Amino acid sequence: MNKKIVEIYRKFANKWVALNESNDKVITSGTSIVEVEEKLSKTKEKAAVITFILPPDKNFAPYAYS
Amino acid sequence: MLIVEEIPFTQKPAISAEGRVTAFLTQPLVRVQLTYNHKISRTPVNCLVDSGADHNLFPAHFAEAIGVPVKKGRACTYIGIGNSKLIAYSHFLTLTLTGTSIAFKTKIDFSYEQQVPLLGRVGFFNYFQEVLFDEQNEKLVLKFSRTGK
Repeated sequence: MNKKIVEIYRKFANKWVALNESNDKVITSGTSIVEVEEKLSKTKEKAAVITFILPPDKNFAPYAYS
Repeated sequence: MLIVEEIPFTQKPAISAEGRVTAFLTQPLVRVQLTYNHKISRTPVNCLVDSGADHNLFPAHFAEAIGVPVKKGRACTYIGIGNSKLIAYSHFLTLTLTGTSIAFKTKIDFSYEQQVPLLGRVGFFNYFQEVLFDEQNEKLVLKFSRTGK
C-alpha cells in the first residue's frame, strides 16, 4: 500500500477528507461534507472524491434497520 | 441493455495502538453523487456497499450539502451493535454512480448520528441484477439493466 495513504489514516482519522485522483493526497479536510465542500470552493484544486476516514486502530461494523 | 461496472476495492490500513501497520483491509466503496431538486452534489462521496444493511443510511450533512430539508422526512429508528439506536429521516433522491451511466431514484435515510454512508439491500442492491463481491480479484462487479431486473 502507498505509504502516503497510511499517513492519511494516521493523521485524519474520524474526519472527512477531499482526495486527489490517486487518493494519496488530502486537498482539504473537515468534520462534515458541507464543511469540506465549502473549503473546496475556495481552492483551485479539484478533488476526485470526499471520503470519511475510519479510525485505523478500530474495527468497523455498520448498523441495521428497525 | 446490460451495464457491467467493475470497481476495485479500496484499501485501508489497520494500525495497532503502538502505531504499527498490522494489516491491509479492503472495502467495497463506490463514488456516489446525489441529486435533489435539480441540484447535484459537486464532489463524489465514497459510500460503502453493505449487504448487511436493510436500507440506505447516510449522514445528514450529505443531504444538507444539496439543500435537502432533512428533518422534514419521515422519521425512522435504526438499531445497531449493542442495541444502540439512532433516528433517521427518509427522502427520495436520484443516486448516481460517478463515472458510470447508472442512476436511479431511491429512498435514502439520513441521520445526524451516522458518518459512513451505507448502501443497503432495499434502495441499492435491489436495483441491480447482480452485485458480486469478487474477493480474489478485490473488486465489486455490478450488473445493471435499464429495463429493470
